[in-house]
Amino acid sequence: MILLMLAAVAAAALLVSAHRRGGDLPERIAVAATHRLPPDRRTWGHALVAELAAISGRGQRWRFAAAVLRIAAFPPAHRPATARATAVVAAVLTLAATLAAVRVVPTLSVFVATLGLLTSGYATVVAWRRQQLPTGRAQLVVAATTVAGVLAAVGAVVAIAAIHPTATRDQTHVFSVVLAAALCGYLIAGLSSAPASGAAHATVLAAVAASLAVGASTVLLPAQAVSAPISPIIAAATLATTLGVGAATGNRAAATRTGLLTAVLSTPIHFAAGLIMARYSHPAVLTNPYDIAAYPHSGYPDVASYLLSDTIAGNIVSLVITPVAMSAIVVVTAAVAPRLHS
Amino acid sequence: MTYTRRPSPQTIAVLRALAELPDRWRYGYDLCTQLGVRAGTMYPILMRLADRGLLDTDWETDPGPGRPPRHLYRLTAAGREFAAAHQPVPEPAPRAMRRSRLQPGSAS
Repeated sequence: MILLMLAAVAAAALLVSAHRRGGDLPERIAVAATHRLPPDRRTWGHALVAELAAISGRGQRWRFAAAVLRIAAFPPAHRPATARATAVVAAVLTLAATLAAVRVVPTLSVFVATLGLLTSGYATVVAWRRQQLPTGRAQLVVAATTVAGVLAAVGAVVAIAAIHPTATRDQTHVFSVVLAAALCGYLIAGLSSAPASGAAHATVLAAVAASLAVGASTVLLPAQAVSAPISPIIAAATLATTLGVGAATGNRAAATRTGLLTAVLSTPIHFAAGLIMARYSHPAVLTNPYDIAAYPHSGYPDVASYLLSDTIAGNIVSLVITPVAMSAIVVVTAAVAPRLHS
Repeated sequence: MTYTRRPSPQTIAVLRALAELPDRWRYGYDLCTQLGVRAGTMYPILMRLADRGLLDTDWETDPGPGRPPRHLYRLTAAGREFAAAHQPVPEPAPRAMRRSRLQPGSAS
């Protein structure tokens, strides 16, 4: 549902943009898609857009725009052997990790397999597109924070599964797949939003510092203050960085980028810190009347597993809905903040 | 430059279309309509041929009013040799003909 809403918002934005600039929607789609081509294929992107300008039929224009999307997603590889080798190595690693999960943490085997497949697919696409790996200092800081946040989230779930296996039991596999897809999404968003070398170092550092502050606050503040479906800590950090960068630079785009980066970096860290705190400081006592009534029929062997299972499910939902809420905060704040620039 | 794998039937069709009038510059979309190949297949083929030095590319010098210059394509000398060396694979014999060959007494 969230993905459908995002797709609808993106389509509406494209329509409005096409209307403002005078081009039709196929042209806007083609132009947007060719911006995603690897740098050494950009000339071909201009060629495709120029070719579309010479096509007059409406249906033909749409078909050509769809072809441009396909080419932008999977441009021909310069070294297909490297991409194939990456795919094979990633598939072997995924298989090994899944087999290990089946033996050590069987309740997480679907999660591990799904996460492995998705990250393997991402690695293969990166190798296929010959995407440049982070090299600048700002890029490396963002990449390291992203990877550390996602690894911490995976580690926190595995740590709970090792001690309270039933807390991570997922008979429908829905939460396992959603968690894997969400974490892979954060990984891709973080790695691909790293700015070019030399650009916007201060704003990147602000986003990284804010995300680390989110992690520290999650650990230090009482659980009741941080366990809302949409974390007030992440909201405060996102608001602060968007407002701060917008007011300091007067640049709406920079404020938006920084706010979104803060949300992307801090959400997995908050997820991991929240689970670690729940694991070590959760009072395994039922206080809620609903839980007291439901626990005896739940099939969980102990109260701690029952409560941890609830916490994990809540945090997964939070992982999915937080980017939507933070995007709204960022858009509104970034529109206002540059006016504070003197 | 080495090229060990046999090109696909679509690539051979593109090479042959370009080799018909080797000095003439062609538009990508015109090749699509001539050969009935989708743009999503045609342009990756053109990219690979250009990567391997088999295809020359250039930009139109005199585009129509209000239009961006289009990309143009023609075979290089190596591309012409390559096209000549890779003729299309003959179509397999129709099933009825093959069956008649297998029947006793049909061999000549």
